[in-house]
Amino acid sequence: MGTIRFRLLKPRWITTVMGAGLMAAAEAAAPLEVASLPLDLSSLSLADLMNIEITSVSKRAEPLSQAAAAVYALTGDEIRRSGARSIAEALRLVPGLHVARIGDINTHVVSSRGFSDRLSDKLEVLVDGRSVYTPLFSGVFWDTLDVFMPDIERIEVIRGPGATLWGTNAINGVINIVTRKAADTQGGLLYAGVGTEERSSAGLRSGTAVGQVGAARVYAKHVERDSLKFPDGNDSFNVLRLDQAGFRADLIPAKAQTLTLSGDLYEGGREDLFQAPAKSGDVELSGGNVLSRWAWQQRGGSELSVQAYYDHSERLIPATVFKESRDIADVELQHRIPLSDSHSLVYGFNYRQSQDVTGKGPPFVFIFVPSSETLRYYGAFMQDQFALGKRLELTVGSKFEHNDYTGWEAQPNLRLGWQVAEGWFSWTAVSRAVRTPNRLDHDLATFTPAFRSGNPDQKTEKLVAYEAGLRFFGAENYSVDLAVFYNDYDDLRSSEAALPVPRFGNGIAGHSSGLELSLAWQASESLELRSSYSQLQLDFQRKPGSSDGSTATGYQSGSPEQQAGLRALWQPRPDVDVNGFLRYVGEVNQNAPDGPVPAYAELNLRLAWRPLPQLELALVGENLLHRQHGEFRTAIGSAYVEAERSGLLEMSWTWD
Amino acid sequence: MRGQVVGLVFLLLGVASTPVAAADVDLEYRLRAAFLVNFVRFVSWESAQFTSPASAIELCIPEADPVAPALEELVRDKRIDAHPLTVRRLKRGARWDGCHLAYTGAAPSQQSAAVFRALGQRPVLTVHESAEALPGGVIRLFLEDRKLRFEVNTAAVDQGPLKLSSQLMSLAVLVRVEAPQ
Repeated sequence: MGTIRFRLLKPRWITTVMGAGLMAAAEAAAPLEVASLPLDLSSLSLADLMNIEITSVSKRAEPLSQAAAAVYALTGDEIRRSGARSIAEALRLVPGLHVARIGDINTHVVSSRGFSDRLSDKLEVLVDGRSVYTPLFSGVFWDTLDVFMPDIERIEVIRGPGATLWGTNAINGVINIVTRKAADTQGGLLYAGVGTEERSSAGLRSGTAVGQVGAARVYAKHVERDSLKFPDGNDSFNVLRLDQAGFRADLIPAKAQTLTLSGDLYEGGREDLFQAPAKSGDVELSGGNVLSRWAWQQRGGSELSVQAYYDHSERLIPATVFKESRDIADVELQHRIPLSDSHSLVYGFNYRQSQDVTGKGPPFVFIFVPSSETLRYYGAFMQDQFALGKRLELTVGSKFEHNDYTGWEAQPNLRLGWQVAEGWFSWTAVSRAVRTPNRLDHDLATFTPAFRSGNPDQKTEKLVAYEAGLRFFGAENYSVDLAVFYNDYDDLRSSEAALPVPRFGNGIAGHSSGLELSLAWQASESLELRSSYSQLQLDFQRKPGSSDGSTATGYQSGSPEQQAGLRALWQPRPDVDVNGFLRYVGEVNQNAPDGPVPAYAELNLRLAWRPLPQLELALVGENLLHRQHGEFRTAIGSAYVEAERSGLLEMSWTWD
Repeated sequence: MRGQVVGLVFLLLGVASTPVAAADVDLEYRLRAAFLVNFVRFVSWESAQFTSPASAIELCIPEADPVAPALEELVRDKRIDAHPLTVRRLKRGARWDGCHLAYTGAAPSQQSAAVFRALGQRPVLTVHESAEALPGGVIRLFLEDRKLRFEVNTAAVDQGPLKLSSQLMSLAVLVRVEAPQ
């Protein structure tokens, strides 16, 4: 027999009688109006507090341990303590994601569950609600995706489809970068660093209250990243420089309402391998965005939010390779309604317009037909979440989205969460997701419109995903998370024989399967260990009638079969942080004519010391095990360069 | 260009003046925090539990619990008798001794139970939100009809060194859960 338990006083009306005056008075009073509450709730009596009706019960963020999807949340603190210098580098910490430097253009490849490529195109990536993948090739320009790193609240990663809520392109995953609220970044922060790879970096943020209605911050940052090296140790002349500034304000225009305003501007350049060392031919990168989001919590607990943003970007690769200028406007509405304690509904509408102007050929090598295009995307989604008994929760929903190339697309999903036992949670899901054709699929040509590889009849790529997972979080100091999946793809982009140049088609189908396992263990108060292992099998075939040459093997060999990671977060003294990250990445690019990029293991270390509460000095070492190592070999014809061992010294100062 | 943006920000926001903005923490979290501070008001600690008459009452909460920011906001510049209130955010696996209030928040009940077991007979006001009363857990906070209610485990009060005021007891649902022998 464990515990002996019995209730002294039941039912509740007895308590009311027992509670004499106070309780009776509280019961009799009408529920307090939220609008009339004082800011300092502790000035109310307990009896008053017991009378406040919580209108947003369902809003208590669903703990990740109870989410029916393969979710991982990387906290801002983990990122800072890892020493990661960019979003892409931080994503190496997420179990199951594949991140690789591609040196010849000094950027990264990031993928989930396969399809690593310079033109990886199956992820939705958002920064504070703003989608950052480009309709040009449905991928992300990781070199210009930057935020003020110390102000990251967390990065949420969903491996697997998230299309029902997030829409087209969220096929193999969603990466949601969330920065801290302005109220949490009051005061100042200044950092500066010098290093062998990140040659110089500096940033300044200043946050302040805005009267009684909210808070705001502004920031500016600079970074210069060194080139990577050829296997023979020679420089690849690809130094990247980026300057960025921005702001965020979180205001409370009225009770139960919040208004977020934010914006960023960046400008940068990169040496171009084929122009260097002549400095005239730098790649030019610039852009900016503004966003506003208004959210209103209504009585009864429903929440309505409306968001609009505008995003502009420009990219010029000289030597007349490629040029793009893009303007995106996006409006979204979302309404979340808790119908009862065990049933909630969310629905929304969105409209996006994306307009581009690309370089005309000649002189440009990579051109689009037509060179300027405006694409519109609009749609609606609805998702219903309800409990089936005490232990089961079912989520069912679909997104319906219209695009100019293929019309309407449906992306439904069905998810079941099961509270197996105290501390154990299991889930399973079936989803359909699509990647609609982009400008590259549809319109790409080389030199002249006559050499058009883009296919005006290109269809959507389709996925049906079957997933399941099991989590254990019942122990005080460790937790385990396992996800398995089977993905069935159809109509993947192929390259079909045609004259005068090969033309894109949908001639590839296949499937992938795999598992992702992660363990977190708080070994002692000062030491936390996190480990992960992931496995991936890819099998893609030409469909009957297709004349595709090597695309299928490219899909098959872009991502490693196995990856593993071990992280140690150690705080030997309150003023000292020691962090280590050891990773193993399997062999990739077996299809490359020059041979595959071998499997590698690498180690990052960061040592930080705070001699004063406001001052932190940090020493970061990256890729410490080898002088240099390759991570990814891109298409035939592009140079193969490798990442180097590097060191960095950083100082940061904070003030109120 | 960049100068224009900074200028635009200040134009949009007007001149920032008064410090301490109302952090837009959800009502639910603010409410939980207010309950916690109120609980502390109704508990009397022996003076031996403080290093000096002006030393702080330490409110401990798991590091990532969403109530933590609301609690920090609430206790700012607040005193009970001469004691200021401070919030200590604890990592998983951290030791909870030295706390005056141990609130395990949204932690699973097994974790809360382990924390309370480790605290043993120390003079700590233990508060949790498990689905049912726990041995060693003095107060259980729970939702009922969209309102927060609380339950006091009289066994934990009787066996522990803390004194709870009768006023607090009168508002509580009372249960008795003995620790296993």
